[in-house]
Amino acid sequence: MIFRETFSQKLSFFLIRQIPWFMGFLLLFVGLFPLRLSFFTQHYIPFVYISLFYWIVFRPDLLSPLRVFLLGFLADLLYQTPLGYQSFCFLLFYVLVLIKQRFLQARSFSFLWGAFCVFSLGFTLFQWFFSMLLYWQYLSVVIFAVQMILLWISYPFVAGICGFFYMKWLEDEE
Amino acid sequence: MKNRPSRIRLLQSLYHRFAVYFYLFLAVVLIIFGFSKHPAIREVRSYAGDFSSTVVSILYKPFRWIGEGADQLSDLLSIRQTNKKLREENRKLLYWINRAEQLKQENVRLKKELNFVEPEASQNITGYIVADNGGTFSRSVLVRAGRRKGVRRGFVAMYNDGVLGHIEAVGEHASQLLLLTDVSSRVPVVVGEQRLLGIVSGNNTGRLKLINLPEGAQVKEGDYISTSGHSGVYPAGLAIGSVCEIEGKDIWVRPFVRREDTSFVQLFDFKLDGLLDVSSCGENDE
Repeated sequence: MIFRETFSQKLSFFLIRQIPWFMGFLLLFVGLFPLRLSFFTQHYIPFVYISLFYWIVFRPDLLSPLRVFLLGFLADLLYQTPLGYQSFCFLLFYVLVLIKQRFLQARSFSFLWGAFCVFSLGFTLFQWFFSMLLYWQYLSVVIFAVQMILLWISYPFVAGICGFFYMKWLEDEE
Repeated sequence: MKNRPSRIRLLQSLYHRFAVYFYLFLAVVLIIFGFSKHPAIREVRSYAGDFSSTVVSILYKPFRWIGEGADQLSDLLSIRQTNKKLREENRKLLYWINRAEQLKQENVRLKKELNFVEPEASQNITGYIVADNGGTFSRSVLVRAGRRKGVRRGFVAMYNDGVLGHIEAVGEHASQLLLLTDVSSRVPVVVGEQRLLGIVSGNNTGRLKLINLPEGAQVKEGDYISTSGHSGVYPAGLAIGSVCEIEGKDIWVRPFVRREDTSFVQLFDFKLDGLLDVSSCGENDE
């Protein structure tokens, strides 16, 4: 017996496969929310790294390099960073996590959290160094350190949302 | 004919193998291109600003409602205390209204005696801050007022008579406001009663750094800092902040207006051309 997919099935299948990319897209906008609390106007949390990390570990097939590049490009436009910079960072992050993907896939939540902290530490140092190079002046490491700690704290929430979508729709579809 | 599918497969496999490296290379090319400060980059950013201001206004709406609800609830709980405080303030203000009226009349009389010519009134547009689009790299916000409202590059953003920054890029419906605290911001200022010339420089934190002061300049905590008018972007005499800390050679300034103080800004056109030369984009930034 041959089963043929209906149009609505094809459409829902297509839309489900866009979740990882769309989440990254949405999180870029969430980072722009005009929060008037003093602390949050000075510190920006790049939630998108959590989403990237989660989906690269669990569904790398749904995040192609082109999509990661485009997310970075959009981030550059939205966050006023030098054009190409976020694309470069996202892709570098993509490559590094992808190398360790098989090792990370079967690990516990807390292990993944720890692994994310290690990756983000490396990236924060890279960003700090790169921004000093770009502006040719010393920039306080505190801003970058606070950003990193906020990212660590946010991990369970953002990864929890990603996990919800993964278990509800994307785990069976694999 | 036979070779065509295998060629396509070969190209596909090559793409899959080298796609990451290709896009990494493309990103590096973009970074290098970005250094050229081509006007097209600013134009693309303006469109992105328009788009993001619309998206964020929609996404943020539920959070705004929650925030407003919480504010109203807190106002309701403190209504008695607020009422008492307002009555006291009202009593004081009545005295100052009379005093201000006397001074106004005196001012008019003195101006008449001196044949004083009033400076041209500056145009001002009010806009809401719809997004904080600065990251660790920059300190900027998106204001929901663009070309259609008459905003142009170089407009000065103020709140409560204090400077917040200037408009760096303008889209149809939104503009990018570069804050004083941005790492690339440099504003010529005068310091204290001695009127020493210097520059306040942003460093992506909440404070500004006072640099380029004359040799042996004596600056003390609390000194008032205002624009000197030398940049061609800010007119002279606008309030910037006051000296808050002196650590050896480092002098720190606390701005009078900080981003978190307000959710809207007033944009003034002082008709200065320091930033308006779009053909040489980025070269004349403060």
